[in-house]
Order: sequence, then structure tokens, then C-alpha cells
Amino acid sequence: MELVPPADSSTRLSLLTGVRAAPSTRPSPLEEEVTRLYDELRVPVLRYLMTLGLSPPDGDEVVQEVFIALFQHLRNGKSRKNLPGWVFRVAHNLGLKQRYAARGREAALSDASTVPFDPRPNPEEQAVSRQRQTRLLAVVRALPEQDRCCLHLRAEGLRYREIAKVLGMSLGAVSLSIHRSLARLSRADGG
Amino acid sequence: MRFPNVHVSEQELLLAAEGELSRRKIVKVRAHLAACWTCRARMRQIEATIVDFVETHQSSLDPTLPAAGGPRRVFRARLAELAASKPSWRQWFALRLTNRDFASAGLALTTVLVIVLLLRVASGPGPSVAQRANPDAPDPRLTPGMTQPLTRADLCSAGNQDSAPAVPRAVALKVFEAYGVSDPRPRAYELDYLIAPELGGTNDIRNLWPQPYRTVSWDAHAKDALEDRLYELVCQGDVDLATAQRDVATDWIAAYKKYFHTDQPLAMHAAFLKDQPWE
Repeated sequence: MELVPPADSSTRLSLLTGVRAAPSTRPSPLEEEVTRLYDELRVPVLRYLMTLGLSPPDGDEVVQEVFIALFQHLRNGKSRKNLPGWVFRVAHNLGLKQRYAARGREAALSDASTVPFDPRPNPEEQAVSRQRQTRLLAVVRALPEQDRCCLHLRAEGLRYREIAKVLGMSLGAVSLSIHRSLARLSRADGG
Repeated sequence: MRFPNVHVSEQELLLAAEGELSRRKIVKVRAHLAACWTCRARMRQIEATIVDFVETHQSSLDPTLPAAGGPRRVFRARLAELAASKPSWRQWFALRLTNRDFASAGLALTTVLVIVLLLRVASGPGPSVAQRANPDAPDPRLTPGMTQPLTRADLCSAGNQDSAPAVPRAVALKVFEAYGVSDPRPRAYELDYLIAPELGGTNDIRNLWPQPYRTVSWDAHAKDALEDRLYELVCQGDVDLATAQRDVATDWIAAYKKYFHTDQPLAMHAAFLKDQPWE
């Protein structure tokens, strides 16, 4: 027999998160829109933040701040132009701030340099693949930070123009940076 | 069989693979790739490097990503709390004004700016900043820039990407004369449309000026690169047509700096060629 009545889902959430749950009204169209963008962009933004040196939990916190800021931005009637680009720009700035705040803690980038277990059955193939990935990661780590950021933003799907806006560079500089980085990766890969 | 003797540069191959070349250039690169096995192999190498990097990037990070469920619930709760809070007067105002209201205000502001600009031109302004810095810059009294009433859709439709039409010789000589060039050397100048035809510029003499090659750093190559860039920006909807026309007509060097985010002409534009030299 249960003596304590079970907490409803919103109370359980409050207890777990420390956030006061809002009354269970239907989400507004703006909330729905921002949640959709969150679902779409959480992984690419989080991955990018981890390449800046944030740990996964720190990265997740920054992602939340970015999308809360996006909600405020849209609620204030500001520009809706290229929202994914806006999200990455804010994430980049908040990520750097968070990294400086957490300076002294072990950077997550060194964790990111480890290569995970490869599920392919052939051990020889596995070893070759892991060696190649380790080599490529070493080249990426040795790149200047700006080149690394360009490469990682591009890997997350941003176009050159968007990267230029996120990092405050010229379009030509982005193009040269990616070209330079790929040339180094190609050499490391035996190309 | 054709034997291409000038290969596509590594950077152009990358830009082609990335879809970052202008439509004009992509056609040229594709034509070259169709004929040249060497460049096709180089292109494949670039693609292979990108694939290797993306695989490495994702496989080194994805296993360490936290599960989405928990953070998503926290986020939704924070969002709901924020949404339930009373909006400020600014938010209230923003939520009630439609995009059309903003567009009307923007249109009114643009109209005022255009009128101010026309009045300035009509009252005979002194040399512009560009002209003081570069005596080869167009004289706004002779070349204020002229446009035809075309829309972005008209200009960006397929089949509108050819080079600028050649200027009749008689008109060209009048332009040279107006600028005090009595015996122009062939191929030393581009008879340039201040506002390029692909941006709605006309072949009226008030839209033409003799722009030298290689006598100054801000030469016809840089101007051609700017025209190409503005056309792209306008057609992608990043810059409205009136702004592009105004920027290039007012001070094309300032426009170059603005749209390429640089204070000097970029090295990669040193040999940029869009329009043909005058001869």
C-alpha cells in the first residue's frame, strides 16, 4: 500500500531539475519553433562546443543558454534571418566565455582526441582505421585555433559565409583557412 | 579531344566541391573537369579528405555526447517558465507588429535615403572619398550611375548571367574624352559599367567610365570581383537590389571593403576577370 501519493510529472521534473514547472498550458507557436530548432541543432552545436574544449555537460548547459537566448531574441521581434547561423554565433561566443571561466579544468579536447572502439570485425582493418583517425586528430589539434574552428563549423554544416559571420572573418580568409587545413589533412592521410 | 593546358587551382577545386563558386565560374570548372583526368583525380582526393575528416570528427565526439532526453526536458521546462512570464513592453510591441509593418517602415526609410542621395548628386558633390584616395575612381558628376527599372527576379532569372554587352566604339570614345583620355591604349582599360548590367545598370554614358588595369591597386579586377559578389548577394536575397546599386554607385571601393570585409583588394582577385578589356 502506498502511503505517499505519487508526484505528478511536473512536480517530479521540478524535483529533478530545480526548475519550477510552468502551468500545463499548450506551448505557444514560438516555444514550438524554438524547441524544433533545439531538436535539430542540439547535436551539431554541442559537438562544436566540445571542439572548443568544453566538457559534454558544460556544452549542454551552453546549448540551453543559446536556445533560451534565441527565444528572447525572437520574442523581442529581432531578425529571423538565418537562425542556424545566429545559433552558432551565439554558441561560439558563449562557449569561449564558458571555456575561459572553466580554465584550469581539464580540456575536453584531449578526451575528444581518443578514438572510440571500432565495431568492424577485421582487427587489421580496425587497427589501420584507428591509426589513421589518430593521425588526423593529431593534425587537427595542431592547427591554429581559427583554422580548427573553421573546419569544425564547416563539418557541422555551415557555409563559408556563415562561418565568416560566426568567427568575424572575411569570406576569403575562411576559404583560405579551410583550403589550408584540408591540404594538411590530406598530407597526413598520405594524399 | 581537347588537352587542357592550364589546370584548375587547388583552391578553385575546393570551392567547386563546396558549391562556393559563382555560377559563371562553376560552369568553367565543370567544363575543365569533363576534359581533364588529372583535375578529376585531384577533386576526388579533396572529397576523400573531407569524408575522412568528417568520419573522424563525428566518431571521436558522438560516443561522448550526453543523451538528449534529460537536457531536452529541462530545456522545455525553462522555456515554458520563460514563456509564462509577462512580456516586456518591447516584446508586446514586437509580437503585435507584423513583418509587413516592418517592411513598410523599411521601404519608407529607403525612399528617403534615395531622395537624399539624388539631391546630393544633383547639387554637384565634390570628389568622393574613393576619388580622393584614387584619382582613377569614377567622377560622380560624369558617372553618377544609371539603372533600369528591373526587379531582383528579372535580374536573377536563368539566362541573365552573360558578360556585360560591349559598348559601341563611338560611345566608348566619348567616355574617354569626358575623362580626358585622348589616346587610350588597347587592353589598358575596361570600359566599365559603374552599376553592372546584372545589377540593373544601363549602357547610358552616365553609367560608364574608363577603369584602368594594374595602374592602381583598386583596379578593374577588384571592381569585377565586387560586381560578381554583389550579384550573388542580391540573388541569394542577402542584400537588396537598391542597396547594392547605391553602394556601388556611391563609392565602389568602400563597397568592396564592406562586402569582402577587408581594407585592401584580396590577392585572389588580382587576376579576376569578368568583363573584357577595351580594345
